[in-house]
Order: sequence, then structure tokens, then C-alpha cells
Amino acid sequence: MNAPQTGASGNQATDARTARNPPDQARLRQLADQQAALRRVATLVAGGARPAEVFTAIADELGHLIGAEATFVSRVDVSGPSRGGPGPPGSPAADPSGERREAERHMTVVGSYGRVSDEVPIGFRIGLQPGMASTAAIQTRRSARIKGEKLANGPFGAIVGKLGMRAAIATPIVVEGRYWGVTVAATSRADFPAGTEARMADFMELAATAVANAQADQELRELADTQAALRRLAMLVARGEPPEVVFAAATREALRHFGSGTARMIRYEPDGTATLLANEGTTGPHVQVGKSWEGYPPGGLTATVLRTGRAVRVDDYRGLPGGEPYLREGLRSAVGMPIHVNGRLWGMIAVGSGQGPLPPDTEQRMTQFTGLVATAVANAQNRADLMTSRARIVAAADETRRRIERDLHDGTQQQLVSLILELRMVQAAVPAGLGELGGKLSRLAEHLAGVSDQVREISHGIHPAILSSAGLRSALRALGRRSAVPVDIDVRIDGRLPEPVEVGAYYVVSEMITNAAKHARASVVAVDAEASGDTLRLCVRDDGIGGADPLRGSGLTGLKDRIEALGGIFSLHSPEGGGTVVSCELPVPADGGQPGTGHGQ
Amino acid sequence: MASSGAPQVVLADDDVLLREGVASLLARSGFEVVGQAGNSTELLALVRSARPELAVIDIRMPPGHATEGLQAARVIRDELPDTAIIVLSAHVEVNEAMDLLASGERLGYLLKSRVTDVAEFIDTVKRVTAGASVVDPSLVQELVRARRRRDPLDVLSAREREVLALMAEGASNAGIAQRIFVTEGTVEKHVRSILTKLDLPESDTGHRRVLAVLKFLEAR
Repeated sequence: MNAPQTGASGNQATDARTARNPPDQARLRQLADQQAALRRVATLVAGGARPAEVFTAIADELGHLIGAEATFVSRVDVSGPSRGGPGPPGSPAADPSGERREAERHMTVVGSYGRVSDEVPIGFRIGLQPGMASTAAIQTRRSARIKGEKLANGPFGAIVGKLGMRAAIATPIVVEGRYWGVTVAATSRADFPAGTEARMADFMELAATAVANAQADQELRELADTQAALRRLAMLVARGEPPEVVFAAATREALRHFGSGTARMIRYEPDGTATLLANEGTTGPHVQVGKSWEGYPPGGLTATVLRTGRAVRVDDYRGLPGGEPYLREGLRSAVGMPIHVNGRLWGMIAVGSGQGPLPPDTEQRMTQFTGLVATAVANAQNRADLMTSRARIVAAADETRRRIERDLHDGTQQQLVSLILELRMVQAAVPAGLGELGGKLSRLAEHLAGVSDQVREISHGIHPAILSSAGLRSALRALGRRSAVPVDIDVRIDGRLPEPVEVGAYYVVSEMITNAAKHARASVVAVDAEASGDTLRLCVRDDGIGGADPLRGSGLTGLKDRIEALGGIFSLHSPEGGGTVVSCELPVPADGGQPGTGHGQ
Repeated sequence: MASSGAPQVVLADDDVLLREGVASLLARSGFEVVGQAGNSTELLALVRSARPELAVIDIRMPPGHATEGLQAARVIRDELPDTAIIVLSAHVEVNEAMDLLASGERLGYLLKSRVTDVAEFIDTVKRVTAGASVVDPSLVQELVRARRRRDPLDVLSAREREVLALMAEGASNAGIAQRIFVTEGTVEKHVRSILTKLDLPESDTGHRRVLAVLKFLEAR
């Protein structure tokens, strides 16, 4: 029990493995236990266990081997300056330069076992400070032991006191020749037995392979996870989800992969303002998705990324003037990555943490992700712009048709009626003796009346006025009455729908009825229309010969374009001899505005 | 209001040329045009002050060029229900027709171009002023010709269909007799047969008959 406080672990470990003395029973059992423990860890790694499971298993096995009640495995890193790439993990350990760099060093718990796992969970991050066994282990590159008063008064004092720990040993973990991290074991007994350092070092040296594998696995897994996340985003874009959905999904993925509390996406507007597009995690009164992002401090992420166009970090909001709102929402640190679209700074995606600084490789890990998010964002934005422009074109064409219809009705046709009326007057004034002239005038008036009827038919074909005045149900019923093929109409729509939706649905039914009569040789057409919630579902089917080819029939192609321009779905099913069915789903915007328009810039 | 001589008419149309044309047509046909309006506000003011027996109203007028004439007709119906009303429209719709007819008798709903068929138009105006309700034949034709898979009209003979259409247009039995060159008694027999076959009620006025037949045709 009276072991030295810092053990000379290296030599002793070597001695233990190469001992020439005949091993006693206890020693043999220890070796067998160690082998069994390592085998279990190796089996976990080979089985593809998550790194956290592997590290926890290592902590667990180590705890059993040396009789510690609490153990954890932690990764040591260096927080770089706000910008620039992070140094290789552990490398400053080889640099004996001084306290300044030591103060920047942190450890992150990657596996935790026993009574300590609640207090020091995976992801727990703490700066390496003087008086910690871990700091000593990293500085001396040897196991370090702390006990009693020194432990109770050290930086871990509160936790140690709560758990009743009385002695702790930290052992450096060397992976592939580099100082990777540190393992800490603690006991509630007065002290660990002598030689515990050696046994820890021995076990950790052998476990390093598992650590290396788990780490490589983690990197691979992270890459695969990131790829999967990006694939999900690409799917959203391909499915034509609105940009807001893509923004929110990208932000969610950023939080999952890089943040530990918060992720948000901000767009820089051409007028110099910024808009909060999505927020995941912590929030506060200043967090209003879809609204202008205001009141951000000049030294914070939003302002600095906008100014520099580069990755920026805040390691501690307590040191940032104007950082109070972020502290209040529970943030301590954050990293902001610029999103460049088409060579222009488009926005920023930021992740935050409620604990110490985010790991120094956050920027590096986020670079590829952000680059691909930019592609998704650009695609979503382009698609939204395209949809808006398609909807605009359709709306403009409809407006033109409506104007022509009105000009024909109120202008041309009206003038024709006036002319005919005048002719009739002249005809009535013809003296009785000039019967032939009267007859000619009469025939002229009749011809003109025929022209007037034609104008009425033409203008009806250009735009059915009934659609504007009486709505889709009446317009569809009128269409059905004028059809050469009987039409069964079932319309379940309350009130009026936005005009582009009514016009779109009308043309679908009109084209299908024409097709049924002209080409399909159908005996009946059934029209089903139902508006519920924010969708109009329309189904038109005939019992004709089928075989309608949307590629050849420009009418049907035009319908598809029109419906898709409204953000709707159009499907045509027309097997040879099996009739023709067109199904549409049209979004009905609640505000009555044009569907299919996103937040374009 | 009491007809002591020529029936008094008010015209409403924003097309001055056409309005003047109709005005001179009516003036030559025994009506007294007591006022002309270019929009529904003017029309309502005119009707309230002049109390004409008939208002001839264009359906599309400023400011919206939508269905201002329909709304004005409804106001007149509410305030002065005895005023006969003829609504002229560039196109005719069954909903508008039923809507107007539901507001009461002495109502005409016609395509604007009907005014060029001078004799018939004047006859219609006179009939509406005298109490009949009249619906444009093109609308009735659209309703009658609409094809249905199980068409209740299939039980009617061709002649009965013809009579049914004339009933919908608002013709009286005498009017129908004149149009299809049969006696009024024959028309009465057709009408009774039609009503029985289609299970329609006997109507005590021409107006109710038009409404009932239109409703049937629209709903079929």
C-alpha cells in the first residue's frame, strides 16, 4: 500500500513481460486474466462495435484487472487558435516547451466505466491543468499517481469527493508511436497496490492496437456517416423538397456529426442582413427561424465569417463582448463554417457546445460536409428558383389568355353585336320597295351573328370565364355537359381554390375529355376531384383503348408541365386496351398564393 | 310604375354604342327608355328614382368587369321586387341562371347577342315585362344535349324533349304550340306526360315551371 506516487512504469512493464523469475500462481492468473480481457476487447473490435463501446470495454476490463472502481479512457488534443488547421493530436506532448501550450490542451472522455461514468460521461471535456494525474502523465510520458489531499484538492476534487475516491493513476496511451490520450483509474481504497502503474501500462500498451483499430474504425464510420447524411440531403433535393426542409435537414445532420448542443444555418442576404434559416438544439429569444438574424456581436461567428469568408471559432463566449445571449441559451463555444455557393459567400453553418471548446479538428471535419451541403443548398435554391419561374411563366400565360378572352368578349364581340344591331336598324329603315336590299342586309346581319357566335366559342376555348366567375366545380360540370362522351363528375371541394390550381385542374379534365372523345373511343369519362387539407387530388379516367403516349401527345405533356410547375404530381397510366387514367396531386397553398414558390433570393 | 301607356325601361351597360343601339331598338318597339347607366351604382340610383317596369342590365360592368350586373339585379329584386329584369351576358351559365331565377319571377337571362335577333328579342322583353321568366335557348340546349350514361331523358320521345326544352326556355303552352305548330291542347298533353315521366310537380306559374325544369336538367 505504500507505493510511490509516481511509478516508473515503462521499465517495470517491460520487466513484467520478460520476467525470468518463475511466475508464481498469482502472476500467472493475472496474465491469463489480461489475455482474456484483451481477447474480449479484440473480439469487440473485430465485431465492428462502436468506438465508444470499445473504449468503454477497455475501461471496464482495466478496472477489473487492477481493481479500480472508476476508469475512463480519454483522448488528448490541443485547441488551436481560432483559425487554421489543428495540430496533430498529441504532438505537443513531445514538445516540452511550456505552460502556455499545456494550458491549451484538453482531454475528451471517449470511454467511461464504473462509478465515474455519470460524472465523467463520454464526450466530457476538460482542460489539462496542473495538479491532475493526467497532466502529469502527459508531461512525463509516464504513469502518474495522485492520492489523498492532493487528489481531493485537485481540479477533479469535487467529483472525487462525491464518489469517495482516494487515489488515482493516469497512464498515457501511445498509439502508433504518438501520445494519443490518457487512461485514468481511481479507487475508494486508500491507495492502489504497488506495481499497478506497470500493470496499467502493460494492459494499455496491448490495448493500443484495439484503440488504433477503433479509432480507424471511427474515422471510417464518421466518413460513412457523413456520406450517408449527405446522401440523405441529396435525396431531399432530388425529391424536390422545399429549400426550408433541406436547410433544416442539413442543420440537423451538422448537429448530429459535429455539434454537441446546437447547430444553425444562416444566410447572408444581398442587403447585408442575415437570415436564420434553421436551428437545431438550444434556443433563445434571439433564435427565430425564418426571421432576420439580428444583434449578433461584431466579434462573433456571423460577423466574422461574413467579413473573412473563412471558418471561425469562439472557444468561450464568456470572453466575447456581446456573447451573453449565447451563454444564456447554454452555449459555451462554437465553430462557424462559411457556405460558398457559385463562388459567392452564401451563408454559414455553425455548431456549438455547452461545454469546453469544440474539438480542434471540428473545422477540418466540417470542411467536406459544408462543401457538399453548399451543393445541396445551391441545388435546392436553384430548384426553388426554377419552380418559381415556371409558376410565373404559367401564371403569365394564363393571365394573357384571360386578357384575350376579356378583350374578345368586351371588345370584339360587343362591337360585332353593335354592328349587327345597327344593320338591323338600317334594314328596318329600308323602304318597302327595296325588298332585295332588305334581304341582303338581313343575310349580312345573320352572317355577322354567326361570326359573333364563333368569337364566343373561341374566347371560351381560350379561357373559360365560368372558371373565374363560378369556380372549378361549375366549370367542370359545364365541361361535362359540353362533352361528346358522357362524363361522371364527383367534385368534393368546399369554396374556391387558388386560381392557378383551378385553372390547372380544369385543363387536365378538359384535355382528358377531348382525348377520350377524339382518340380513346371511350364510352364514359369519370372525374373525381377532392380538396382536403392542403392538397387537391384529381383523378380522370376513361374506359377507352388506352395507349396514350405522353411523349407523342403534346396535350398530355403540356398538362404534366403545367401541374409540375404548380409543384404538383402528375401521373399517366394508359396501357393498351386498358383505358387511360390521369392522377394529379396539387398543393393548395393556405394563403391562396402561388404554389411552388420557395424563398427565392 | 302603373303602365299608363309605354312600359318604362332603364338600361345599364358600359358600352355606350351598344347601349344606345338597344335603347333605340326598344324606343322604336313601344318602350319608353327613361334612363341609361354605365355602371351598377348609376343603375341602382336610376331604378330607385325612376321606378321603371323593366331594367335591362349587362352582367359585366365597371369596376371589376365580373358579375356586377348580377349583384345589381339582386339589389333591385330586394328593394323593388315588381321590377322586371333582363340580364344580358357575353356567355350564359346555368349557375347564374338558377341564381337569378331563384330571386323571383319576371326575369330574363339572355346572351347579349340575342338583341340582334330583333323581333324575337322584343317579343322576349315584352313577355318578361308581362310576367314570364325566360332563359337563353343556348343554355337550355347545353343542358338538354349533355350526354349522360343513364339518362333520365331517355324516357322522353323526341317531341317531348323538344317541348321540355321550350318549357325550360320559359315559353308558355301557347308559345310552345306556336313554335312547334300544334294545338295548345296537344302541348298540354305533352307537358303532362313529361311531368309524369320525369316525376316533376305541376307548377302554377310559368316561372316555377322554368325553375323546376332547369333544376331537373342541371342535376340529372
